[in-house]
Amino acid sequence: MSSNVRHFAAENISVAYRGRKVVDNISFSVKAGEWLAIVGPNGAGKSTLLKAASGLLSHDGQFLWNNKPVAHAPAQRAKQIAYLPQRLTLPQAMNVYDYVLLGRTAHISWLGRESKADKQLAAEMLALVDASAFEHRYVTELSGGELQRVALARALCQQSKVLLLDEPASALDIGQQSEILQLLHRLQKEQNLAVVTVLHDLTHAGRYCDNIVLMKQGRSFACGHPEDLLQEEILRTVYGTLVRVLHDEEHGTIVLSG
Amino acid sequence: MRAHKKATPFLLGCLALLASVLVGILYGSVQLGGSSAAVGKALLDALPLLSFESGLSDSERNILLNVRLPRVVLGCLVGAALAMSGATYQGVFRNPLADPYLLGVASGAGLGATIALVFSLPFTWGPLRPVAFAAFLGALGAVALVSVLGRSRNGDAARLLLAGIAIVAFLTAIQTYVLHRNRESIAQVFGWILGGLTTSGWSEVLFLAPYVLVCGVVLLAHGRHLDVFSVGEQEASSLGLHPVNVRWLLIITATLLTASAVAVSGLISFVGIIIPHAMRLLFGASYRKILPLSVLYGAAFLVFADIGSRTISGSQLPISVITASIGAPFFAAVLFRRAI
Repeated sequence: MSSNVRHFAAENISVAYRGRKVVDNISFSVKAGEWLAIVGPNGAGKSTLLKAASGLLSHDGQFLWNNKPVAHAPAQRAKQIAYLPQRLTLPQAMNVYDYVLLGRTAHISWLGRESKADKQLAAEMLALVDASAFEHRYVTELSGGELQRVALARALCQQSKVLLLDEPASALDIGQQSEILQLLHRLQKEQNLAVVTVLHDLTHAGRYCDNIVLMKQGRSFACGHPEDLLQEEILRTVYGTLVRVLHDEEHGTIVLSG
Repeated sequence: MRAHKKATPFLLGCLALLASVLVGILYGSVQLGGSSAAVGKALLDALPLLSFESGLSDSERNILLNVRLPRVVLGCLVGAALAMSGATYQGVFRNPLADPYLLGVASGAGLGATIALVFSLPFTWGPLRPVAFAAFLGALGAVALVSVLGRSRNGDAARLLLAGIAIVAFLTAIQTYVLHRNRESIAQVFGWILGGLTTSGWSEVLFLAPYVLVCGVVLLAHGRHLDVFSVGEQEASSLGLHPVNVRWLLIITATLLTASAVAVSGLISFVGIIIPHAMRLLFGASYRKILPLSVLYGAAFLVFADIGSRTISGSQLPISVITASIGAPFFAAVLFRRAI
């Protein structure tokens, strides 16, 4: 890793629930402007790893941003890392604009309030994810795709350079899935973000991500470039089922089950 | 235009409070002689540097300045305290049904006060008298128990309420046991529980006012934090809020506020739930609005409820009879409309 490119790294991360190791000695690194996918079967510890990275779970090992340990205090950490869980908790009767403005929490002093600049940034981020048209609607009234875009705008408002997303496309139909992943791809490049996502769809991982960590039973089974990892033999070992991997000039790697 | 729209709920709240205070001062079981202008003059006369001839007799002046006025002011303080703490609990627990009663805060305070009265505990803590201090400790213990027992990952309303029911039943059982063993204190404790806003001059107001002022300022300053809480503690934490610090600061402040109000007014139910709820239904879900509006409308509501308790029947009704008669149907209507 060249020292002049900023990067987010996990070093020997382990997480245990009641004495049982759910994540076991995982390391990875992702540069600014790159997208890392964490994939693997259910129960492999992917979401736990992401939660640990976001500071919500205690863990062994350390997370680094530019070779320095990530801050512990929530306010400092939120300026370095933005995290969106798989299932968002939606506030009642809060409109989209106010929801996105929550992304500025870490930048406001304890008894302060949102500045003009905060409000302007929220409006800009809404425009960036093409959600300005429904900024007055309640977040509880949005479709799955709209909500993911709005949540992304909230995360972008944190102005952190690391973005952690737990299955950002899993609850969406295929049209919305491509829409949100393409948006994420664009933002990652435009904003020079280090993106780490848990993904279930290996075809998506192959198409959008620069690197993949393949997890099995809490451990890192393999990590590397998608074309190296998305191989029938490797996937059969990790998922315990037959898979077919097709390579397509236009669409890249396509992974089919059975 | 937008600024006008934003100010309207506050303006209406101020009018409601003003109306409640005026009616509370003018009406009572004793008809003060002369006109309301005479009452106004007597009030102005009581202010330093002002002198007005009101025409009221000394005993009428005494009723006005040392009975009605402190009672109305106490009603404002207690109503504001209960409504603000109710709103705070609802925000912290992300549960629109959370209120000082359902969370066992009032029962804890009741048990503490019962023990202090029965055993004539001598200790004080700063400005807190023994009954208030014991009420505060009881309240804090109860809310700690309920929040631990009713904790759930997804903020499940039923779990918190069931925990509240269990703790309330337990505390009530202890209170009943203590009273059973000390029957000579029953009248005194029951008198405290039903206390309402019976005042002895200004002492209750002077006791409660600092708590309402300090706790109120702390709570009002945290409306934004409560809005951040509405996305759940985990997301709030990843947004940069320290959820544990904020949660306990607000719970302790709201509990201190409830306990101090309960210590002077006895147990007054439903104010902490219906006022914040009504604010949410009428004016939106942001706690930056709900908290200050709860102060205005909570104060006005309790003063009107007290007027009702003084005037509806010949003798004084316990104020909870009034608040529960309004609160319970409101609660039922909200449940029926599934507006929570």
